[in-house]
Amino acid sequence: LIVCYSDGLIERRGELLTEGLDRLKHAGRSLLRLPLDDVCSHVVKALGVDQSREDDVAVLAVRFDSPVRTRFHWAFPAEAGELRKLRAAIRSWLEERQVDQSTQNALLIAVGEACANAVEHAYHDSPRGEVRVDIEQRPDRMLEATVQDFGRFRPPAKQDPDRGHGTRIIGELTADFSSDSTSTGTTVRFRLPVADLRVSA
Amino acid sequence: MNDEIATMELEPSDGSLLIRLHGEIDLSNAEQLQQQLEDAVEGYSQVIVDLTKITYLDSQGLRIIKKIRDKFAREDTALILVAPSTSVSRQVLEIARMTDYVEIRETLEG
Repeated sequence: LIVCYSDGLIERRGELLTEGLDRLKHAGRSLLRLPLDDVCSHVVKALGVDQSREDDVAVLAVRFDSPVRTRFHWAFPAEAGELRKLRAAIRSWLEERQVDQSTQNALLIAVGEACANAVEHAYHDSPRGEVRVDIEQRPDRMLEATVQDFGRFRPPAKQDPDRGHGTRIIGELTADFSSDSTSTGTTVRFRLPVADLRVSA
Repeated sequence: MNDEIATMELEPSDGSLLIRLHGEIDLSNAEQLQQQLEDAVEGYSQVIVDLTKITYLDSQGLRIIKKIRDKFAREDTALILVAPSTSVSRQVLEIARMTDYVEIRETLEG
């Protein structure tokens, strides 16, 4: 909260300037809890301006809403060690919105699986390229995620029967899951319904 | 960068071994962790792996759990996982329908 004022608010004839400043300091303590609309009238009243007005008085109050990022973007080199940093970044983005624990886990796992696939399979013959993650908070209480790489998808030559669970897990956890591979890269998309999505102020 | 994203504590008690895992399991550490687990459980007839403090686990983690389960089945070693229903591990184990293959407990006590 920022409060700007003209000297008429604190100055009184025959009084030290510090006395007015002390009155203001005292009044300032309770301002943070007030609705913005009431801040100016409270200041004027608390400083006794009405009774002893000798000068013009102007007061302006400004409060900044906490900036809420509705979009998350993260790009990283396709290396396994980067996955942990990505998760930390998603967690801190999720902290700004109140999402239940199980939805948070689902988002981390689904994005994690898509990224691990990109790290493992996208850049075989080319130098390690980039993986991009975009998550958007939609007005319809959906989190919409896109994971993109710019390599050529090639499944591992030797199929391990225990591999390939990643995409099945994304499918189970999310809605509208799609994976589209072309010669210039793979784009994975999915949506996650959020039961209790509220923006915290 | 800190290379240990998951750590384990071992608590042996006659024939049985309790392994408490902490941290995250992903593509970067799954294979190394599998090796560490396999080395640690040598010679025990029952192994309890406590996943309560695991904050991230995906198909890479499931893969090592399956490998260890298969190895144990061959060696007649009992494997018990501890994963509370609110944990990320339980969520993933249920999606992968692993709950029928491995004994999973809500808490260490039962």
